Amino acid sequence: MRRALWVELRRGTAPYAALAMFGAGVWVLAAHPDDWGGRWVGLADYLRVSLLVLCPLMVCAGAWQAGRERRRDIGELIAATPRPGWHSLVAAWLAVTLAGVAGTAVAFGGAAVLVARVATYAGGDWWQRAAVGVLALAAASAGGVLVGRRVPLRVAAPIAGLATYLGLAILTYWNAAPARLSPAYDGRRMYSLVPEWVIEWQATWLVALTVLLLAVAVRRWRVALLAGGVAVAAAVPISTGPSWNRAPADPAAVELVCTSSGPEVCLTRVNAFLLGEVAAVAQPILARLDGIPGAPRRAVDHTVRPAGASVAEDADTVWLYLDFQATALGGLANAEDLRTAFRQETGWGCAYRLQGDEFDQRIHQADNMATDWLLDGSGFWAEGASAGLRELPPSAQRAWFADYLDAVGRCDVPALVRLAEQP
Amino acid sequence: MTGRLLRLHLRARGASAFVAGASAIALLAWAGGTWLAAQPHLGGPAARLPVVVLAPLLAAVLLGPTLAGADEELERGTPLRWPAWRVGHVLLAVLAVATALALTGLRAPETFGAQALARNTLGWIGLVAGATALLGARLAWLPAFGYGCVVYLAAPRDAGVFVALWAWPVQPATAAASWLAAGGVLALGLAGYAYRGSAVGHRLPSRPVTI
Repeated sequence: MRRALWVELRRGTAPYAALAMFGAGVWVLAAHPDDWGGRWVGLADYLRVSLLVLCPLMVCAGAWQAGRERRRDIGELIAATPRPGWHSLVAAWLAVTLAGVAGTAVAFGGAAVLVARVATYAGGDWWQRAAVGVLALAAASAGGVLVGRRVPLRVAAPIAGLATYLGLAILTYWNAAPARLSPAYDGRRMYSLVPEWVIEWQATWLVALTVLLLAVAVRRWRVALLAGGVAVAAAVPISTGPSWNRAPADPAAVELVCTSSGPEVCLTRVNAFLLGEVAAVAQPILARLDGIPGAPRRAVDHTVRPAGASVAEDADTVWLYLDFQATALGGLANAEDLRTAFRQETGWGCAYRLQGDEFDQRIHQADNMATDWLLDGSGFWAEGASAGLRELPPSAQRAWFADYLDAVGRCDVPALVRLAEQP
Repeated sequence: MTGRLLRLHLRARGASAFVAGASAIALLAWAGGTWLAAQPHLGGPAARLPVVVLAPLLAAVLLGPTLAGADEELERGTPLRWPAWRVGHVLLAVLAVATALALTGLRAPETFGAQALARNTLGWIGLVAGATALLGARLAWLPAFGYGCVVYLAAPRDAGVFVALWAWPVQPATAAASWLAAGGVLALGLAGYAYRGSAVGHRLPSRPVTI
């Protein structure tokens, strides 16, 4: 068996499968580093997201490998050997699976090296989530082996791969309980803990599914019956249990880490690797607002904002969205997007609330002036709008901004129009 | 005479199986696209992107086996203008598949509908035809399949001419560069296939064939 496996690893589909999985892994990782940069749980979740691509490739590789006997017309020759038929099939499946997983592991291992350099939170269930992803790859190649062995079609491998792609995509779209059996998901669970029972049942479901598919491929009906029973037993609690889409937050992951000097900037532990760069953007803006009545005094990671959050929502806080803000090397991807978060403090909501005759273009002018002043003349959508305001003495500038915040809080149109014309 | 030759050619290349498969794909594309477009929480007609990528790709994969005869070298020995036959074969398939799929996306055709389905048909069939010339009909599906699997997830969120060029299957039909890319792929694939036909199998390897 070991010799057969070694031969398959060297001369079967396995080397190509490893190459394809490595290439696909690198490609998807390079395409969206903001999904996983600097975060272990982000990387594990991204592996699960990437299963949408990786599983069809594994299905295709398994089907191509298992269809070899038919393509080469050597089925009878193999059947004439004393070795049991399932030996060669399991060796072929194992070779493709090991090679595919190795290719994926090398691609994601490279990303893991980048994450390890900067990650600030290594807790949570990230490695269990990744392990379930690996089991899904094994199940996918088993599915491919079954198709390759049973479907006498020249294009069985790509059709099976594309059907898998379609099936996983439908399950991702389908907001129903059975869709939870899919190992691929949308990856928006970076700050929560998936319940342990879910991971355990998912692992059981995927292992049983793998055995079932292989057993059907080699017509071992008793084993198939047993594995099918276990698969159904695991599938039932997954698809009928409470949804884990709204899993509770991981308290350690969303614990706030704050700057020790200057205006307060706090990020969750998961995002804390960005604290230095975020503070460099946010603190100068917060410093300009320091002491102005009604102005925010700190900037906080929006992750702690939802229900059950550790920080109460109040007017003193600017919420920063950091979900797509990391580069592959763990740096801040777009400082301008971060500065945009401060725009909410300049009361654009008031302008949008007004309708018809109430609306006055000068309200936008006041908003633009406030935004541009807040961002020190660099707000790209309002650049230069506060030039007149910034020629006033600093105390007068701050008084203008305080009046603006007061007027915008009440959505006082005459006051906003007056402020727009004042400097 | 030509009509009889055409019938024999189509029969020898398994055209009836391809037509049956393409019809099934068109029906599935219609059903899937209609369902997705009717889901307001998914964004309406824009949610048909997976259909726009996968339906023409599946049709192009099915076309692959028809691009080579049972004995390619024997066929080439016949006194026929094979480049013209090859071009005709591919263009006929493009026309048939693009028409069938475009009919399934006539609702809001500009938003991942008929237009994008037609564009992707050009591109995917071009890719399969080119791969046939390089790898042979047996593996012609491989580049299109690999690229099709990855491009949906790997396409960048930002738009631009360069992105529209390399990620043409997932671009809206209004992106002119995506049409250029798909058209270019078809032209190159068609030229390669017309000139070389299906790559003929390699000689047996010197090392023993293993099982």
